[in-house]
Amino acid sequence: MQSIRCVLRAATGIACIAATLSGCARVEEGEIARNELVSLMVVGVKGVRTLRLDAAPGAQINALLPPTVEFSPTERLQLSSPLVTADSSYFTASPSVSIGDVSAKRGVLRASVCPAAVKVCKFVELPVALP
Amino acid sequence: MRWVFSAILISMLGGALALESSTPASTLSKRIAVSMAQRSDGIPASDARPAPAWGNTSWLNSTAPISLASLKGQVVLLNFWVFTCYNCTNTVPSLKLLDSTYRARGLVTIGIHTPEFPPYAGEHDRGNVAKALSKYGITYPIAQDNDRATWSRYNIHYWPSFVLIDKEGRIRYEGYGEFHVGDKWHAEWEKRINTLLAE
Repeated sequence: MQSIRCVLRAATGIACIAATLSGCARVEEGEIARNELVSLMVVGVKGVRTLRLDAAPGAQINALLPPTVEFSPTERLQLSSPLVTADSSYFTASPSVSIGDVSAKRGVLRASVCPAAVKVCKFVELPVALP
Repeated sequence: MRWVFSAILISMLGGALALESSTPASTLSKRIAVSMAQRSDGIPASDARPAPAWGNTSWLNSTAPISLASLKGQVVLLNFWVFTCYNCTNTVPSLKLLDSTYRARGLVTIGIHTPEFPPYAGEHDRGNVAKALSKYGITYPIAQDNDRATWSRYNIHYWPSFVLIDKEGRIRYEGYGEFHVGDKWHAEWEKRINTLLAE
């Protein structure tokens, strides 16, 4: 009985530490825009700064109209992912894009987001400031 | 050592609570669902407000712009949609069926094509809209609402949305969300159309 308790304690401890560390990693990623349907993150992927758009639970990001961040009329980043639903309508993984050498810091995120439960799409427009 | 685990556990619980409070998509879904329910009973003719006139100048499947005034005496079903919205195009078969079933009896179905994104996305392009009409076999009139003027006049927020106007030009039913031939909402819209055609 004593040994089972010890094992459980150790497992709980490891799980706690792992969860805490992954929580820290999320914080380091840096959320730069958010509303009730989506959050836009700056993440490092293999040393490359990348924008990633995450949908809130129950929401789907429209792949027929991929999200964009517009920094100026001539400078625009389109977020995408090769992983989409069978009908190509929604992203099944968070769309992303490398920030590259964008010169501007401020822009506007535009996305079409569709809460699955009610089968409508909603236009999302959020100001974005790159760190 | 125990206090370390306790501290971690408390921080995890706090994090979990914070995450719980940041899942508002379900809240939005509930809000929209409530709105749909509130709107499903329709508006009595005595309380109905006049439908705003629209001024769209670019039309497809129509040789000339169609005005609301010219439709007096007919029941008008407006569908706010855009071809990049899957929920909208999924509803097209249902709308086509309603149009073909009730057109001869006085129903006028009109699509108000309202882009979500700025022009760079291609939704404003008349040629792209025409391609979509051909792809989905839409034959009822479509107005391009590129400046979202009609969308705003009707206070629309979601794609797709629907407005049913009676023979006197009053808004009697409003709603939103995808529906299909044979489902509950198709039957509901059909019932509403029949109610207004019978008045």
